[in-house]
Amino acid sequence: MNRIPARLLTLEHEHGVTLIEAEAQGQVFSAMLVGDPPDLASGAPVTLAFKETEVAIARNLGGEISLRNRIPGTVLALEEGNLLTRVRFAFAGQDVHAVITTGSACRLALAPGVAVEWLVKANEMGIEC
Amino acid sequence: MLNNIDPQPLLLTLKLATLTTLILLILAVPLCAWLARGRSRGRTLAEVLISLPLVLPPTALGFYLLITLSPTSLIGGWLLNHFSLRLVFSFNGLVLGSVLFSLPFMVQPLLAALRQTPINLLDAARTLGKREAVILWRVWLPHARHGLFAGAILAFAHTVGEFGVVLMLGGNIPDQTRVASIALYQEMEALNYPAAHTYAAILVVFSFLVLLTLQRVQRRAA
Amino acid sequence: MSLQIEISLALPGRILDIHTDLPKGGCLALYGPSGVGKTTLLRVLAGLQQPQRGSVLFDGKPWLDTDQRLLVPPRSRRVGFVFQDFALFPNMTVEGNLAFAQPRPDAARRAYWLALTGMTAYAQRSPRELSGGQMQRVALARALASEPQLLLLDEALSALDSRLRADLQDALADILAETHLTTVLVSHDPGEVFRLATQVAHLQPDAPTRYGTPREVLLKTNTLGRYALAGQVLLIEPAGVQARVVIAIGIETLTTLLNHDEAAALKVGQRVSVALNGASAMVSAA
Repeated sequence: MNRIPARLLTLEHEHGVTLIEAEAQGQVFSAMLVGDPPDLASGAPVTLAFKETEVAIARNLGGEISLRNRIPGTVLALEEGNLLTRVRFAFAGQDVHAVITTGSACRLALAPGVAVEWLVKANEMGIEC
Repeated sequence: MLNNIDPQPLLLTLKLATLTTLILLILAVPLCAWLARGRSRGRTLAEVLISLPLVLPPTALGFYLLITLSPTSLIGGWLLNHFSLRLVFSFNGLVLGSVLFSLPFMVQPLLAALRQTPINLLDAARTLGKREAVILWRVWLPHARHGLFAGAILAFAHTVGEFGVVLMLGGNIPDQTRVASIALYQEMEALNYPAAHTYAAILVVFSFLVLLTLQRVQRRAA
Repeated sequence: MSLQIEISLALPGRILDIHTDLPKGGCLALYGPSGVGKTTLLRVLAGLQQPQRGSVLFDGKPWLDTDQRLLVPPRSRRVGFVFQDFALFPNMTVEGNLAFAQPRPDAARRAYWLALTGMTAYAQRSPRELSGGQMQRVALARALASEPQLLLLDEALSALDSRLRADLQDALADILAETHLTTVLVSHDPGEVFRLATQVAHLQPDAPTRYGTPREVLLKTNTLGRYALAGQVLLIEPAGVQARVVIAIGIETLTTLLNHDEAAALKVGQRVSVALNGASAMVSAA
């Protein structure tokens, strides 16, 4: 699980679905929750939580994409397995991990120092408070 | 073998044991229902008193009964004057002594069985609007009936086997207080060993059969 | 036939307070984890137990008032109590159990209750010959046969497997609708509460009792879009760059991937909370 400290910006609720925007190091993150909105005010500290397996990696991404969480970064290290590969980035002075298939890691020619974007779908972004 | 003895003591023993067991059944049910319903100082005291004959020499119980019930004592005299009831050296006295002496044998199995009954069973009957007497008769006793059987069998057998209380309180009056155990003792004193053997053998066989029956009752309950 | 409850119950190390009103024909669920005091509350309503302080008013008549030392005994309350262990009388047949419960003998009414609970074919059986589900039905039929003013159900369905439980929930919902009986139900099963109750008192060991409709109480407990399931770690093993962790949840097992640091922090046998994303749950007919 990746955890990033953040600050609540907005909170919208309709039909049992809540959309949250939170900011960390100038980067805005979106999270979608089903259920009643948490009892939080704008500016409240929250923690963004998302699993390594829910992080996608893109290189030279062009065109439009629906994913709202799209963060530029640089690959720090790779840990390669037969099927899965763990990729480490730095974000705001802490480590963020992605677990993707080794096939995709090869296709993207990932290596330490390569500039990429990492992406998380709002539905897979969790909030802890 | 049986024609070398007087059958009267055996019949008297049977009569005494039957009567004692019947009285104990009537007495023990409400008593145990009260004891099983909770814990209190009164209940503890009652349980100890009921259990006394288990450890007391029968002669001690017989001795105190003799003292208490003799016509020269307060209670014995009162009973004789008002009810013409003579309880020493009489069959009635033996019944009273046996009831007291066999009470714990009746009470303990019944009390244990009553206490084993799930409380929800009794509570269910209470919520169904039943009075405690109805619950006892229709739910509690049927559930504890193996304890009732076991208690009756034990009390009966124990009365058949008693000696000390009878000797102290009843003496050795033919047709009145000469029960099998006394007759056996008397025949032995008279060096009439064949007759003593017959009484003893009958008592052994009887006790064996009683304990066998008890085993069966308990196995069926389990 | 409304029920007004105001009870303070001294439990080991804490006080359980409940105060609520239940209108005639309503169904109140006492909902919460086991050991929180639900059954004790139900026994207080039946008059089988006394609280340290409190009052119970049924249809305006006092059943209990500790301030005035007033206590109506269970037999005068006309409550139908379905016990968790059913408490059927083993020395009576199924029909005998119902007959014992009736205020006056009435074979036609007995037949009606047996039919309503689907137990007509078992009328002459001994309770010992019945399955758990059948015993539950008989216990319910017996409670109804006593012509109660108030029905009390103690975890009535918890002993049964999930399929049987769903069937009996349906049957119970129909019976409650048919009889219009005011009912108090003890349960730790949210499904049961949602199906049967019109209002809920959510009892918690370390928080005040919460009141509301099943929707208000049950849906409020899940915030942040993640649904916490109580589980127990069964297996932890390395799986390449991740670790494979198997967790038992109820009678099911769930396998997930964690990173090695997270897996190292867990022990086999440990109780854990598993958070699932509600939106990501895939649902299909069983």
